[in-house]
Amino acid sequence: MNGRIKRRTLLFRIAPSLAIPAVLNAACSSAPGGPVAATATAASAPATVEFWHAFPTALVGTLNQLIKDFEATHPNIKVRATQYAVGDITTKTLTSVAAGAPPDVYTQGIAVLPDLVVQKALAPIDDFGPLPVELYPGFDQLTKFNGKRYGVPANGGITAMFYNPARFKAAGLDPAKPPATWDELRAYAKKLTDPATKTFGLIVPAAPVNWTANMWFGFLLQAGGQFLSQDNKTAAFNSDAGVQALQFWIELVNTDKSAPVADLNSETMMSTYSTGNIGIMPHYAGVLGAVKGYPFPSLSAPLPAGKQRGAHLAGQFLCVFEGGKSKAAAGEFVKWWAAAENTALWAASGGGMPTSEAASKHKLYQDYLKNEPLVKGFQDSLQFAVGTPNVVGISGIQVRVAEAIQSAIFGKATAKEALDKAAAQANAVLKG
Amino acid sequence: MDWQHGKCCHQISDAGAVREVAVRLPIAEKRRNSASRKHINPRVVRRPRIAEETLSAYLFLGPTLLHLVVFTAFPVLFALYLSFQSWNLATGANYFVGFANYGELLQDEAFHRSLGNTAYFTATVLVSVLVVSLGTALLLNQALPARKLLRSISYMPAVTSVIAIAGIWTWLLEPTYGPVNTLLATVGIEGPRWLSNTDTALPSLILVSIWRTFGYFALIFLAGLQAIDPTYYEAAQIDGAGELALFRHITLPLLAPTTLFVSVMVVIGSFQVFGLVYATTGGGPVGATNVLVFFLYQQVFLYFQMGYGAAAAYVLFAIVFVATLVQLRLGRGMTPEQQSNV
Repeated sequence: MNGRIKRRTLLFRIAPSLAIPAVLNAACSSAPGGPVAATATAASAPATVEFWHAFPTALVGTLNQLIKDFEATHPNIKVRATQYAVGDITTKTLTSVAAGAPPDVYTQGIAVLPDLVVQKALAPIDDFGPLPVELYPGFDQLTKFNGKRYGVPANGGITAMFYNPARFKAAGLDPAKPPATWDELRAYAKKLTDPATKTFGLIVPAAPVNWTANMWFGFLLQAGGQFLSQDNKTAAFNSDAGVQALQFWIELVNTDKSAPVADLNSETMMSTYSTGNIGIMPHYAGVLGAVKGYPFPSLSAPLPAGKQRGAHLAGQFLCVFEGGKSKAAAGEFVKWWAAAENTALWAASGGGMPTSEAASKHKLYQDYLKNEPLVKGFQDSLQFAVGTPNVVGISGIQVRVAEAIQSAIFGKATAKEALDKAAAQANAVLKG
Repeated sequence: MDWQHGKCCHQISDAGAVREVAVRLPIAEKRRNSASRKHINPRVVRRPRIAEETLSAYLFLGPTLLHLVVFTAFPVLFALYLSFQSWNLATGANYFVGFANYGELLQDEAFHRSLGNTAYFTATVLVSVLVVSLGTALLLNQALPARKLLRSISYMPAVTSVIAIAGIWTWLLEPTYGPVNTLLATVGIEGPRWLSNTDTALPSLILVSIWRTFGYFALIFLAGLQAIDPTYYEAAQIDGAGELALFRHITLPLLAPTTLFVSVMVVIGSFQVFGLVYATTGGGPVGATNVLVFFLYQQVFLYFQMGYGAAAAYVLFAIVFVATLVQLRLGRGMTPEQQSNV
């Protein structure tokens, strides 16, 4: 009995003190982490806006600058920004809403705005008063649902083409004259392709994710097509125009072999282009900053015209949650972001396109336009950029279209078969 | 020994001897010096020995039990409940649908394909891993000079992060610029498109999976090999058995418990393969590498259908459960004497 701990001591002193930290650990490891923020009441306690975003790391510096400016002019509000990966933020936010603990604001990338409105998770922006600027009309359709606005674009996303002038010159093409029509794009891509040096004229995405469908949407518009019917009740992307648009991609990849057969996504498109072996890369304005950093200069141009011009308009929308702890403060933050000088600063840092005429005309952005040739293609595309319809379940439909694109590019189905299958799945979702 | 005061219990010492030990109750200590020690009062209330020991055991187990309940038991049971619901995470709609999810799975073409892919993956990996790791173990069992080095090298992939492995192999197998095809081109072979071709994608992943796990199982087989009593071999050699006969009639049967263990582990692990698929092909191209867990991931994270995904998870559970039961039944039947090795 001498060396052994007395049973009583063990039972009532040591074991419980071992248990307590472990229990705390188990309880706390799942907590979302974050202080319990007091809501902004009569200028007494400061409000903390919990802001979840998926902006790239390259823009975090500008983000912190904007937050500092906001906090300076709004002394009772603090903004806590947490960065999430693009692929994670939607799931993370949706689960937090389901758990009843959403953030105050988040940046929406994948189009779940209508779905969130249906479950009454978002606060209408109009509740916080009028916006300081008039947004571009294209954003109305994307951020309004059932007549009310539920998101404010932090930046505009637009699809256009990046191209490698060195590859153009090597193929005997004039870098000042990028392809302006489908036929020209096809011819250029053929010229830029050289199997001996493993260079390709073009790359197109085929990964079965929303992004692929959105990249293709521009081509659908160029062929004169629509994503959904006018009343948003049936799929319209499997029309003749849609089949034409997908067939164009199939021929570029499989007939001309000007683009590799691969299921590229946003990141692998960029890493492939960065090797310098690709002539043309269609992509979004948001990656401008990254493309600038590649070991060769690039230029940009709008996507070519089919029957007409077309480009996908998107962007990251700031949405305010009803269940957030500092809703009023969050509304202030979101509205403030839309002001001309703030949006212009963001756009001038490579964060995407400006969201209003006022921001476009602001000196910060005008200077940026003058000094950054890479923006030209995207700026010129603003006038014919259109967003995908804003309906419940649209994100799942986009994934189905992307799957159709992938199976067509890999030769597992014709363009018509693939799109018809996706349309059937989409109609099932749209029906209810 | 004061038997009247306590219970008797047996203690087995390291040397194998059995000792009888009396466990004295606390109350016995109090009365040690009392004059009435020799008188046993049968009406003395003895603090139940069992409850106190059990209580302290539970207190020690408590934190881990809590963790297990919160992070394992609860999610598993909640998923079972979810599989009978239709829950759209995006719209928040959540209502009871009975067995509708399971019914829909039965008719889901994509689900059938993922089942087929998973079954093919598991069967091929199982047979290949058994052969390759046993072969490696036999090799490592020889007195080779670089034995320890070879052992470490073959084991390293098993302890490397699956995401790192996926990244490396995606680059190695890149059809146009990757080293494997470049190397093959130098000897005039046009390499296949590996992960970018619907026919070669799954076999490529099978190869990577075998490469990743064979070292780990080789070590297990090695332990099994070294546990075989050499006198068996000596006896057989005296009877004139050759190398092949030794292997067939001594090594293989005596390795049966190890083989059973490896088989069960490989089957369970292969049915659950996800990280490798997610980080290389993303289930593609065109569903060629869409395995069961990836299908589940798509339902939940791309389509936000929580109930449907949960139902798929339980189908996976049922399959693995039955497969393991079958294996254990088959295995037990074959190895009556070496059961303790498992």
